[in-house]
Amino acid sequence: MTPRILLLSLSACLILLQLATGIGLFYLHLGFSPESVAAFYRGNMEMFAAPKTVQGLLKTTLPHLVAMTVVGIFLLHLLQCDKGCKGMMAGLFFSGMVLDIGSGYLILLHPLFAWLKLAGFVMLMGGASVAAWYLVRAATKSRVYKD
Amino acid sequence: MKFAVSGDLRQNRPLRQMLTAFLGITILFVLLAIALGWSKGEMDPTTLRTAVLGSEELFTPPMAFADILAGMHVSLFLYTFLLLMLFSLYLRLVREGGMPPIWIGAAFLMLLLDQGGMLLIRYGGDGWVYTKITAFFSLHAIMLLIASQSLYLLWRKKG
Repeated sequence: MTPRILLLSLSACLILLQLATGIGLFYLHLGFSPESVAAFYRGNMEMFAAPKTVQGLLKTTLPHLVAMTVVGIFLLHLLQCDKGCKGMMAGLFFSGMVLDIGSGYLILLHPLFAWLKLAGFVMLMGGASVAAWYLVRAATKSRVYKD
Repeated sequence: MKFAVSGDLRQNRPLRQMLTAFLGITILFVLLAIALGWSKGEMDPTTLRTAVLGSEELFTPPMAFADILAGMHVSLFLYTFLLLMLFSLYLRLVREGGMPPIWIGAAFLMLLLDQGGMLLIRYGGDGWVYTKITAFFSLHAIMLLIASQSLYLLWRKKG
């Protein structure tokens, strides 16, 4: 294995681990049910949890916009498949990212948008995980990425 | 506007200046990370053990799983991309000789042990504090070494 291929494979592996921590944090803070997601944003009287403010959401949105875009560009520009597949993966990742981030604000308006949040998160994590996994596989097989 | 990246980075003056700034900031980042770790007492096994496992005498609770995960989430992103950029640049600068690929593997392994160190201490036992401290130092030492050598390779005279 050449140094460049090793570097790509290890980076993709750690990005997969980073995505796993993201899934863990989502589960711990928001949960995977629409009710728990809505309660996280809109607050819960029984749990003494205050609703999120727009300023608070912006503080999370700002670093995530940068980080998710960088991860997306890194994974997708190295993805070696035909244009249709690449476009589909990019669509899945970036629309998932917009839904995931944007739905947090919409949930403040109506709890039903929690479904959108869950859908966006699944699309985002699904797209990123498949792209990272494909990168690890292709790089370790050394078929696609020539040194 | 046209972006021109020549095969030899040293022949492209604006690019060389940008890369010098990147390497300089990376060296500064590494030094600040070490200074921050030092000031928080993360280099001292006893302080690190107390911070992660808590202390009944000091009435401090152990570190929550969610807090450890949140720290890993941010740091893994930051360090992975920094290592990726640093090694990509280094591999373009070094033509022959240089460090063997094992350094790349070592850097990523140290990153994994450094970031996973908190979880290992919290759930695996306090003996892991030494692994965490060693990994922290090794990771930053490798980064300093690669950044310094890249800087040297970028500016050395051809001959």
